Amino acid sequence: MADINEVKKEAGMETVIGYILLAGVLLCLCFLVAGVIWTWAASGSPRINYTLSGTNLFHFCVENIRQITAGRIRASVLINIGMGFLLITPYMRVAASTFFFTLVERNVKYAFFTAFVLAVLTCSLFLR
Amino acid sequence: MLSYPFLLCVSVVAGFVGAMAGMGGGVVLIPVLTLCGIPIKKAIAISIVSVIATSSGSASAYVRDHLTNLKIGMFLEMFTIIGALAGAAITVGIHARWLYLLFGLVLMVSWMILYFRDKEDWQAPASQDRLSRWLEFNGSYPDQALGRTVDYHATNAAAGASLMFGAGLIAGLLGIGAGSLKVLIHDLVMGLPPKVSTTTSNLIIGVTALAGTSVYLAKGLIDPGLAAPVIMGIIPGSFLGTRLLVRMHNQAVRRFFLVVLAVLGVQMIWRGLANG
Repeated sequence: MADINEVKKEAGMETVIGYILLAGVLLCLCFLVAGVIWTWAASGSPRINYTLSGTNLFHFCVENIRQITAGRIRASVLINIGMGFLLITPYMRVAASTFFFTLVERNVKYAFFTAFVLAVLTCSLFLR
Repeated sequence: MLSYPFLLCVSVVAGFVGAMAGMGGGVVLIPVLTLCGIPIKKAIAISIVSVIATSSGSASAYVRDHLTNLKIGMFLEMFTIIGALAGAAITVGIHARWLYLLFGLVLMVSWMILYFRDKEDWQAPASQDRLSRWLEFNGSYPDQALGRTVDYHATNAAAGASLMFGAGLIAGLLGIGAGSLKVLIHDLVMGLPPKVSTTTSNLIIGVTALAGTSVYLAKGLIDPGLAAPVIMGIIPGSFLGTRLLVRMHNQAVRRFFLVVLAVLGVQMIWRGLANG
């Protein structure tokens, strides 16, 4: 039987993971809506005509953050940021799980499992 | 050419169905996008991004409602992500016709397994094997329909894990999340209660889809112009589906699931054959 402390820790992890997922999705939605409204207001049509050439998530995020810090905010940048938030959400969820199993719950088995998932995802997100 | 309002409506429905059946939404989205003239590989790439949205939206509520088994989800993820990477790599290389046929086949096989299995309500597995016990595959969840907390344990971890690699492969290959297959593996092989299996599958789907997305992103198949309205529709749809699932009885979820699988499976196989 799991003891009370373990159950409490797991409930804490459930809450954190739940809110990471919710925050990621809501942020994504806000940026996408803002980007689409901007496109609509600027061109009279909500259709966004651009495609992404082959890229990886980390490069994609850095590129868009660079655009913002350089003051070049456009509708397409907002949409990209929204997409970036969405794609990074499951990654952050795995990172948070790894943190919990390693440092809070100190469950060696699950620390290893989540670290493995995190490592594979990190490698795949560097694919180009 | 697709209109924005149409794309938004289709995406709301896809998100709703996906969350209800734990399927991720792609099974509705991909057939509709291809019917509208979008190449199937591009539709798969858009779908797999939208699957992340559906999965994360629904999973956020399920996890906080204590319906999801995080440990089982995280163990099985190791296998689904490897499968998804392999699957997406195959999709990039093969002819579109095979994607239609595979899509239809996966749906029909899922339908057959569900239809011919025992119609009885869920039965807990009598015992738990050593590996599953070592992996701490047990938990409890609050069942609103029964009005009490249900304790459960899962079994067959090894068989579940190897089948999950296959489910991940199909998810990456077809961009569907393959929640239907994950739910089947959880239900039939591992003996999880249907609500736990659906919600745990939802959690796994997001990470699996991200692994597949990385390949499609690298190949330049993701079109933000189409992905944006799809995501904007699928998120509210999946929130609605999630809220309904928590209130519904297991048999109702299953019956709904059967109808959706049958209709979509038949039409995809027909198009695969016609495409040849």
